Amino acid sequence: MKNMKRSLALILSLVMALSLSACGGSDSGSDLAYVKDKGTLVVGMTDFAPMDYKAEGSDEWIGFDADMARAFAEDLGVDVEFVEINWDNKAMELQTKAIDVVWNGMTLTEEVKQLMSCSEPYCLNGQVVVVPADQAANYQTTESLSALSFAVENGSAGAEQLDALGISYTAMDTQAKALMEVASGASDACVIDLLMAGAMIGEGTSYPDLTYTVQLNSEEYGVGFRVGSDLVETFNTFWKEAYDAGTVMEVATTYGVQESIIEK
Amino acid sequence: MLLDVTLSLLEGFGTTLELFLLTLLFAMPLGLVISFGSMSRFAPLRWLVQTVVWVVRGSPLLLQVLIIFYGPGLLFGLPLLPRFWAALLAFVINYACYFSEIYRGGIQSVSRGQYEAGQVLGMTKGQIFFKVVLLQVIKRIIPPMGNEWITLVKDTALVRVISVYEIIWMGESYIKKGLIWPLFYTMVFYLLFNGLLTIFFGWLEKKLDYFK
Amino acid sequence: MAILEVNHIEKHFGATQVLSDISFSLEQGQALSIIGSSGSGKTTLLRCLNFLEQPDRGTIAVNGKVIFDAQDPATLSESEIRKKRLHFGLVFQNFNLFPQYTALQNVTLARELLAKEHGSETKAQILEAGQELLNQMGLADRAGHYPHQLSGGQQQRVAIARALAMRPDILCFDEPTSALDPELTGEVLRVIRELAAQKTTMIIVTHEMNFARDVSDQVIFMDGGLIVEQGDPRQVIDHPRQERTRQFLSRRSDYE
Repeated sequence: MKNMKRSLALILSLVMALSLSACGGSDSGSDLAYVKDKGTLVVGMTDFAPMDYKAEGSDEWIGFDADMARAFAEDLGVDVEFVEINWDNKAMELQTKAIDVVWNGMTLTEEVKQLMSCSEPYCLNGQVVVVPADQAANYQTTESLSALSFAVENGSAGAEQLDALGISYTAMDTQAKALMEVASGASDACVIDLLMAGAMIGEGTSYPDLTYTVQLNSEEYGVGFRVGSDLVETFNTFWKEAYDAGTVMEVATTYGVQESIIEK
Repeated sequence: MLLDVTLSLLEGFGTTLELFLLTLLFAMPLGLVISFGSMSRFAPLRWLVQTVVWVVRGSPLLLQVLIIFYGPGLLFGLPLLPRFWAALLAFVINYACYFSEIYRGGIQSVSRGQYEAGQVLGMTKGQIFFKVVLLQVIKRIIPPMGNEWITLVKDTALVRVISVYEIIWMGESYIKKGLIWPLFYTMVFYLLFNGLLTIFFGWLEKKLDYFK
Repeated sequence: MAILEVNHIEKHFGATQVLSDISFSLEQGQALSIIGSSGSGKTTLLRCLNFLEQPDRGTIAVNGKVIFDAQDPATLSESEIRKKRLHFGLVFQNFNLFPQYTALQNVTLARELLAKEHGSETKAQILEAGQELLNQMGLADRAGHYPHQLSGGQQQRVAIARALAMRPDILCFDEPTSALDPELTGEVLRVIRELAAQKTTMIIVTHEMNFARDVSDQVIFMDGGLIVEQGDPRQVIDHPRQERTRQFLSRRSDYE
């Protein structure tokens, strides 16, 4: 199943590479005009606290990214629509106009930068190793990790870090599933985003028995647009203004991510 | 909690059921048309239909769902179908091809003598098909059709790849809240529904037990 | 005037010639038996008369009217054939009853469908006629049975009633007892004898020599797609003139 999905992803990225090279750049129409004309900004995301999630018993998407996306749409004068997507398909979703923007605590990796036009980074993040709290003392260094079996989201920034360290792992389709692997004991450890770890594990969260130890790198979050889209510039301007007006920090404080926001 | 989860899973199961029923509604008759095509005496039509059936049956449904949803946009820059309709289209095409082979097997298993008996009694082709052959075909295809319906129920889980929020998607969304059991709870829905289907097909089989 | 005239029928399957220059005639109320080894073409001839095969040459006339002419495409169209084949009835070796219908429904189905088109009879009349035919076949109490609940002999008698229900001018039998256990052939042969006694016009392809001699007014012996000998049954079966007929009959007596 995993192999099938991998080869599938490969085939689809090939198809996409072809179609990108076929029409890439030459897509003359303005993306901004397209979205305004349509009257709706379709935001592709996944359930990823604290950036995009639903409060208990509510059907409304909230979170730092969700709230800022709503503000951006308002700035554009259009409605916002959140679509929960399959993260593996994010670039295809964008390119086929199934969504208009990927806005979901997306790490700006080389791969992502190739497949989309990205905004300037707005948030700092890192990849951290998550283990059961009672074992945390044994795994405080990068060297100690080689003894562990890992679960990590397929194609994620965490997977890249493990690849770089030469550590093998089981690929999952979401970070949440990687966490579940560790919670259920199927894997010894997983690698997830620092921001997510802060919100989802430790005391008073869904996974009170897990904790994080080593931070493997530092990285930045950005918002992804269609290749060549003029929305990138519109976004950067919007963000700067929102930052200057204090809106960004205000929303960030609501969701406890104010420490990670990049100064503008 | 249990009630909340059940309601949310039921919502997902509604999508699952909708996909299941609409697929049957369109694929059952379309399959019959395809089976006639694959038995046509006009060779080019037969080859064309058999090739299509081979391609559709020979490739993963998951891939077909992805191609039908993303394909128009990726390859031709066309607007996409709504997610559910793209999923439905892929399922109808895929299942119509499977059904067509079941129909073909059923139709070909009716002996030539049945057609000839109808002919010498002065019946038209249509009368022979509907009054003589059809019920015998139905009786023979019930077991494989039952299998296919049950497979269809389970295959609907694939459409979450293009973000159609069926029951497994709903179950999985709880993982992010740290709840694992709702995912396994979805199995109860599948088991109950497939149990009903099994009973239905058993009843149907019994109903047609009066002749051999 | 002959009710049936067959002239110069020829039939090929690919390169193989299965019928060559077949000509014969049959009078109203007579029974004709066709004998010969398997592969002699007798079943194909019967199938040609019932339009299940199409001869390559020759003509078939019923009551003096040509209903088939290999040279005349107008006689070959689908809808034409459907009407004309009702001149003939055919009883198959394997009965070919419709399994999902009762004995009575098997007998009445086609006639009801025809009546729906022409409005000639009511359903009640057809059912009554069907029951009457089953009575005549000695199956009065089997009308509600499904084919799989009947013995082979009973099934074949239902099949005969079904053919008679369409009131054909000529009733054809294709080895009607060959698929039956020996102890069940008697009841079917008895029914056919009764039909002969009632002057039903019949063509019977059979391996039962004694039966053919008793029941027929005329016998045809076929071999290799040709009519080798035809005439009075006592003459053809008891005193054959042709060497090939003699050989065939002597082989038959080995296991009869």
